[in-house]
Amino acid sequence: MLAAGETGAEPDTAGAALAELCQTYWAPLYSFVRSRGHTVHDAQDLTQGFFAYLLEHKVYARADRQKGRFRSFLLASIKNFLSDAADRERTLKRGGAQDFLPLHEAQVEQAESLFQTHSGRSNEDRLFDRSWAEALVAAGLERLSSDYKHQGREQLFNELKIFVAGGAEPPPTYGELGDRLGITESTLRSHVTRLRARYREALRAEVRRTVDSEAQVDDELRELLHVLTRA
Amino acid sequence: MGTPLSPGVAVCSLCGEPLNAKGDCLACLLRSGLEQSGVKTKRSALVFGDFEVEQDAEGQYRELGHGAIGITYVAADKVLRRRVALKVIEVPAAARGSQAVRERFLREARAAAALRHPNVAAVFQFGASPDGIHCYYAMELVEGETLGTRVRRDGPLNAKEGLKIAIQITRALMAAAAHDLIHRDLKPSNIMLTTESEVKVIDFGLAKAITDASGEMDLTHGEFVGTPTFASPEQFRSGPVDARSDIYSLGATLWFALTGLAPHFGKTLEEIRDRKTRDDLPVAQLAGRNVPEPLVKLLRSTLAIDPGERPASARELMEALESCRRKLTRRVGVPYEEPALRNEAFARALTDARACASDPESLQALFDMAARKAAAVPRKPFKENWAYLQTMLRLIRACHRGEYHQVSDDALLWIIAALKYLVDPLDLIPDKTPFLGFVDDASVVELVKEKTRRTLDDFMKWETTAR
Repeated sequence: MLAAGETGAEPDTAGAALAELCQTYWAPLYSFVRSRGHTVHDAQDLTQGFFAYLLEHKVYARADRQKGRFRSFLLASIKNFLSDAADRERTLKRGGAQDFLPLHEAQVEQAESLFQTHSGRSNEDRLFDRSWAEALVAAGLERLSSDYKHQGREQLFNELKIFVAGGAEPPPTYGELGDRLGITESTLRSHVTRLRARYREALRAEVRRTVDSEAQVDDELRELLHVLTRA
Repeated sequence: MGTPLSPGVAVCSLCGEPLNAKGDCLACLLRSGLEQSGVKTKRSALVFGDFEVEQDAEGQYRELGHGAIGITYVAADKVLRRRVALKVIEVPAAARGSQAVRERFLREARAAAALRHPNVAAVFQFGASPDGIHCYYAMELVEGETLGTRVRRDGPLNAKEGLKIAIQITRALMAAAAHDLIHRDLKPSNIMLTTESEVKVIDFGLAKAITDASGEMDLTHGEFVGTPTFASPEQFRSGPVDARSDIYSLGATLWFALTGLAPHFGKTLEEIRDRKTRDDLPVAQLAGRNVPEPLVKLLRSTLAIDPGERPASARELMEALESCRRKLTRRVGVPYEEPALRNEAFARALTDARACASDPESLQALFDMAARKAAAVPRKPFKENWAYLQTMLRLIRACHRGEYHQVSDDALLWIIAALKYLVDPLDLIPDKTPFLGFVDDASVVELVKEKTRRTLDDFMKWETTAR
């Protein structure tokens, strides 16, 4: 189902990779727990507790590879976890497992803000999927942004990002932007093409971590897109 | 079509979907992942002078690499009908139309084109677009992969491989020095390893010559051009650099080859610069990879912050590299990291010994050669093995003369194999092991001694009695 949980992987490696994935997709889980009516603090504790449970009990190793996506697996698992009163009580009693996955305050605030933005307009599953899509594209953009930063081309990335991420304002014409950056239109087009290709690869690489096959990458992206755009 | 919107929620100007809190359109970002990797229709031809950039099946220009200063394509030379690597560089706006810049580029380009060396990818032709916006030059298309790709795929190299590569790069630098040319952007991605394991340095001098030409490319303008991780500390300052800058970059490249890491890295140019000029070298990385001490010492000197403390020239660096290679070879006797090869050589010697033992002429020839070589070899450095060899020779002589019979066929085979291994190293080991150089070759020596000790002891007792 996910590379991290594959039987061939070393247990520590699998655990570490899973922990990294959990870190990336903490916000969707938190949103889901919040949508079940838990308070901010309880939701933090429960989310942390869920991941601790997942990692400690190696639940991922029992997952059926044929069932596919890590997203569906996590959603089903958190539902089970929350429905298990004993687990929930135990987690809340010990204050969650706050240290299990290190969390930044900003990360928690962002997750809460995301929940507040969408909570009135979606059911809990859709809210989870939407938050998942947010986390996914954020991870893809972060990968790309780091690459550009590493090459000392952060400014170029910021200027061109609108061509993949859209925005309220229409993108500038190639001519306008080329003049502003001091490069020719053809060079700018080439930069944009490359940025798109690299973003595409970064996003697909991120999805690939959570599915079994290249074909599922397309399916996963289509499904998330459908969730976002359906009436 | 989309999700009902709350008042005041911004929507994407491209697709009308709501934007997220960061002002990004999730739908556009997801769609990008589903796009085909390229436009399937053939794109318009990209032509620079006599060269037309190749396109792949999806109509994308075939890129070999792109960096901060330009893009390298695979292109067709329409006149000579050969494939080349074409580097296309956009001339900085500040430098366009400048006669001084043009003259400098031409000077560097001529020097680079004049540089012909087996370790340098040859520059065939250079030119500029009519509007002066692009400069380009065609280079030899090298089949292979870059050092960076190799290390990222296979992991760090061992000391011997690293030295071999560094020596070939240094040969290229020596050839360049003869043309007053410096590279200025040596780094793993500019070192091509051919399929025959030869090194070809690419991008000699030219790329940086163009981009440095405006004379104002420094940190204060945020326009450092090139690869800061492998740049010398002096490249972060404005002002000229000399061959010692390349020597620093070569040191950083060799460090990367041996560890898989750059000696100094950081998230920003300033951070990298500060680390290069302030921090000690992280030699623990070298220790972690068991890099031999002579090589550590050499890396320390090439990566000295002060250019005055580095080897002064490529020639001086070559002497240091050769000295390092000698030390490493001597330290372990036979080629240092190839016990498997030595064992294989000995296994072959053992097989040959069977044929030799059954053929009196071959045995006599082996004996004569061993005796001749043993006589020519100074006794001192290999005292123990020398005495050991002499005993084996005496035993064979005694057997041959029919004076001594108490040796089993098996023990004789081992002795013959040991002799073959010792006297025929040039045939058995491609690296031309010095005669009797098995002094530190513990595995083979111990094996032979174990198999023959009793036989030789018995023989020496017999000798004592016979006398």
